[in-house]
Amino acid sequence: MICLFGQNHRTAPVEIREKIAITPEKRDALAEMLVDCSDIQESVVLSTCNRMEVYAVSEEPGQGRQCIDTMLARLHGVDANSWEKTIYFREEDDAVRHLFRVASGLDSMVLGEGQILAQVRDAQAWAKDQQMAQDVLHRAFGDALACGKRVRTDTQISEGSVSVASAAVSLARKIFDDLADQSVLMIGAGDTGARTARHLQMFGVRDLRVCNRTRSRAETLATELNASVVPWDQLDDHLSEVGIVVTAVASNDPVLTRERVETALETAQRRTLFVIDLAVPRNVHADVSKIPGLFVYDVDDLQRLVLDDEESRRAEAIKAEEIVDDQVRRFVHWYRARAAVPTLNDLRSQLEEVRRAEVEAIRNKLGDEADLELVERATRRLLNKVLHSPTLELKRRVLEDDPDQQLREFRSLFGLEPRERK
Amino acid sequence: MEIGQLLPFWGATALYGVSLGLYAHWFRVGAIEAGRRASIALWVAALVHLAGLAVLGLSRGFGPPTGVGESLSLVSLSTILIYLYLEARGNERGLAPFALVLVVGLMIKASLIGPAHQVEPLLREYFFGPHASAIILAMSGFTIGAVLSVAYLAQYRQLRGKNPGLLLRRLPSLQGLDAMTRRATRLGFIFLTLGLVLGSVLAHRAWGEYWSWDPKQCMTLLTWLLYGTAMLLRRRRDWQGERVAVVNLVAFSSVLLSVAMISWLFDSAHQFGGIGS
Repeated sequence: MICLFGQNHRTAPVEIREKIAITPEKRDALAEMLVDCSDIQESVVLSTCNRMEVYAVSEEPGQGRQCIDTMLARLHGVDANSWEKTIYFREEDDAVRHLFRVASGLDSMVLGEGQILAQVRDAQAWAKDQQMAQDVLHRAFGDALACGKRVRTDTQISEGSVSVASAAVSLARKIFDDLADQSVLMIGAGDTGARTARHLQMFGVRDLRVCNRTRSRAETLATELNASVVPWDQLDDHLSEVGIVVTAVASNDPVLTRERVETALETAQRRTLFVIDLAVPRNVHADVSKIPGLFVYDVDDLQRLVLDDEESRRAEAIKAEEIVDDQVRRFVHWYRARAAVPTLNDLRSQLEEVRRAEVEAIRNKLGDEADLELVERATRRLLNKVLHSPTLELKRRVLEDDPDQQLREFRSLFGLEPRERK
Repeated sequence: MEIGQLLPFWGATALYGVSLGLYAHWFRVGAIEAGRRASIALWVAALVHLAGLAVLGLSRGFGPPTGVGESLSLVSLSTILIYLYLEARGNERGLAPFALVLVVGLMIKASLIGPAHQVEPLLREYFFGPHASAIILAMSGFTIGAVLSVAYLAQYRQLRGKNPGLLLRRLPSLQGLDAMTRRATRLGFIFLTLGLVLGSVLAHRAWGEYWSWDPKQCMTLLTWLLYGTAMLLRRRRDWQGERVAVVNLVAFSSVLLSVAMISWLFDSAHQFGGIGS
C-alpha cells in the first residue's frame, strides 16, 4: 500500500517545519532507519523549505506511520506530539494524487512554480541510489515528473508575475533585450526600492546606482547591493545615462517632472527609458508618461498586473487538475493491475500442477514421444484458454473499488490459499 | 488544374492559412504543444510550397520566377523560410501570426495572378537569374522588416498603455524586435541595391539602355530611397524606436504599391509574360 506522511506550508508554520526538516546531514541517518524498518518496503523522502514528506510502500500502513513518527522524533530529538496536529497522512490513490499535485506546482506556495520539479527529481534519484525506492515508488515519482512536465507544457500555470518586483522585471525584459546591458538608477534608499533592485540584479543587471537625499543611507544600501552611490545633486546627469529608473522617495512633490526628464534626456544616447515609480504619493509626475519612448509604471499599475496574472494562473490551475486526474488514473491502473499479478501466478501454478498430474497419469497409456508431445500441447492450450477470461476479468475488477476484496473473492472462487502478508 | 500550378499558389495559400489558424490558437492559449503543432504545420506548408515551385519549373522547362505571380509566391516562400530560421534560432513564435497574415495576403495576390505560360527572351538573359534572386531576397527582407515593425508598434502601444496583454507574453522585447528589424531591412537594402545594379546591366544588354524610367524602375528607386532614408534616420536619437518602425512601414507600403501598381495599371516591360504581353 502506498502511503504518505507529510507536513507542508499549509499545515505548519515555519517554526514547526524547521523542527522536522531533513537537512543533508540528517538525510543519511533517516535513509538508514527507513531501510531498516521492517514495516516499510519502499520509501522516498521529499524535503524542501516548504514541505517534508515521506512516501512509503507498506503492507501495514498504520505501523508504517508509527515507524516514521518515532524515526523523526529520534532523528530530531523532539517529542512526536509537538508536531502531530500538523501532519497529514494519506493512502493509496490519495497519496499518489498528492504527489502528482506537488510535482505540478499545485500544492506550492506560488502556484505553478518550477523549482519543485527539480526537487522531486532529486528525491527520486537519491532514493534510487540508496535503494530505498523500488518499482512502485520509482514509477510513481517518474509518473509524477511526467505529470509536472505535462502541466507546464500544456497549461500556462507558471506564467506571469507574482509580486510587484517580478512584474517590474518582466516588463523590463519586454523593453530591453538583455538586462545585463542596462544601467539602473535607484532614487531613494528604502526597502521597496531595494527589493525591486535585487530582482533586477537577479535577472542580469550589473550597473546599479543609488541616489538618496541622505547620502549615508544611500551608502549603506549601496554596500549591501554592491552598487555605486550617486550624489543627490548629480541625479540629472545619471538620468541621461541609464535605461531603468526606480523611484521610491517619501515626498509630497514629484521628484521627476516632465521638464526635468526631457532636459536630462536631451543629452542621452537613446530615448528609451523605463521608469518604475514605487512611491505613494507618486514621485513621477503624470505628464512624464507623455514623453515618447518612455514607459512609466506606478505601484498601482504593477499591482494590477500581478492580480491579473494571479487570476489567469488560477484559471490554468483548473486545467492542471484535469491533467493530474488523468495521470493519476493511468498510474493507478498500472498499480492495481500489478496487484493482480501474484494471484494470477498462483492460479496458473495451481492449474499447471493439475495439468501435469493428469498428463503423468495417462503417460503409460500413450504410445511414443510424439503422442506425449501432442497431449502436452493440447493440455497447455486448454489451460491458456481457460485462464484467458478470468485473467482479464480480475484485471478489470481490481480497478474497481476495494481491490483487496476483489482479490479475496477471486481466490476463494478458485480455491486458492489466502495470500500471506510479507 | 495541374499540380505544379496548384501547389505553389492556392495549395500553399491554403496550407499557410491553416498554419495561421494554428499559430493564432497557440497565441491565445500559449501551450507549448499547440505551438509545436503550428510550427510543424508551417514547415509542411513551406516544403509543399517549395516542392510545388520545383514541379512547376520542371514540368514547364523554365523555372520561376517568371511573372509577377511567381515572384510573389517566391517572396512568400523565402519570407517564411527566413521566419522559420528566426523561430528555430530564437525559439520565439510570437512573430508568426503577423508574418503569416502578410504572407497569406501576398499568396492570395500571387494565386489570383497565377503562373506564367510563356517566357520572354529577356528572361533567358544571363543576368536575369541573379537580378531576380536579389530582388526577391530584398523583398523578403523588407517583408520580415515590416512584420517586425508591426509587432514593435503593437507591443509599444501595449506597454505605453500599461495594459500588457497576450502580445507581451508572446513577443520578444522591443529592443530585440528593433535589432531584428534593423538587420532585416539592412539585408533587404543591400540586396535591393544589388538587384538594381544587376537590373540595369540586364536592361543595357536587352534594350541598350541602363535606365529607362519604366514605372517599375521608378517605384523600385522610390523604395530604395525610402529605406535609405529610414536607415539614415535611425542614427538620430529622436528618430529611434516607434518612429523608425513607422518610417519602415511607409517604405514597405511602397514595396506593396509597386507590386500592385505594376500588375494592375501599367503595361510595362516588367510584367514578364503576364496578361499584357
